Amino acid sequence: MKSNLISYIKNKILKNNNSKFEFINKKSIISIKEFSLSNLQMILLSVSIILIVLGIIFGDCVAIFRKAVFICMECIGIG
Amino acid sequence: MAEKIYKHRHAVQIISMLVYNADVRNWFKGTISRAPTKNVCVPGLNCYSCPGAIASCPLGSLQSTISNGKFPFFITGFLLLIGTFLGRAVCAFLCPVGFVQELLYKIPTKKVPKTKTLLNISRGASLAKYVILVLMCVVAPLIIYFRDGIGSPVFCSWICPAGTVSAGWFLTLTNEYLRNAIGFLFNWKSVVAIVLIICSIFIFRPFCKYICPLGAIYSLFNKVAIFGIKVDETKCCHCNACTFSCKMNALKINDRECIRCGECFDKCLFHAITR
Repeated sequence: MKSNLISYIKNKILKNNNSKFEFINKKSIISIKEFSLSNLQMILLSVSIILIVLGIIFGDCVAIFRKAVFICMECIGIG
Repeated sequence: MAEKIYKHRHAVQIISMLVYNADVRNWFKGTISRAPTKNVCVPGLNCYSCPGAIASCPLGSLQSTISNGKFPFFITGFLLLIGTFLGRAVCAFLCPVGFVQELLYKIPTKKVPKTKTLLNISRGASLAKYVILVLMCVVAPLIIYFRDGIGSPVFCSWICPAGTVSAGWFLTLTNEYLRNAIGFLFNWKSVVAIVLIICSIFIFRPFCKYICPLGAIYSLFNKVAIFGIKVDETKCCHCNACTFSCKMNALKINDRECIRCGECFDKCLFHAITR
């Protein structure tokens, strides 16, 4: 049963794997992936900081505070 | 350092739970904390109506901001920031709900086995959390806002067990006014919480796997998160010992169900999984 499950998982993974880049050298795929990953991380971090600053400017934190310091009737299942 | 954190994962979970609920005085007074730190959120699921909560719940804040008809800039940015840094590692290290479920799973009983059919069903059912995220945390509060002029945090109202157990049950025990207001919704939420508690004894983290919208959000960042598990492709022989032993039913390291708990480190005989 154990080996059956392992081969089943293996097949599932193989199915999910993207075979578009099979013809490209494996090393170059990894380096392209790493480069785009670090770029994506930088973009995401920058966007998140911009959104947080915008949130603070638009008073999101004050609204969150106002909601959080009183008992939330919906959360406890009353209101 | 990273190795130590993984080794003492439960200690990190306990510390984060205690820090989230550090205002202990309110546990016995039937009131909730009014700490000034409540204008920011914690990364894990911890209801802001928990008596001791010193910070806000990201999911509750997201819904309450949407319920007021505003775009949640701060929460979106916060979730994006935490997701980019940690991905679903938050579920394994910084979520009190996940920790409680893990404790319940440690109760020595017969557990639901991992078979081909059950794995398939579980993987399919785990998509439900994305539907819950979109429908209950975004669409429904917006629809109610456009209909009534003020929205409602639908997920918190109808499902969230964190609010029921740590806030609802505690506050109604100690606060007579709230106890008198108990109605259908409270009973419904209590049933949901009890069912989840029972399921947690037999299934590993059922709430995290199938329901949690916060886990659904963080799972989107699993592949791009800065801190996480990496697989050394030169050492990996694709034996799948890591995924076979995975209690979260991940099919690959860092896939949407991987919470980076580190349980697979010792399972890999080739030491291909690195922190």
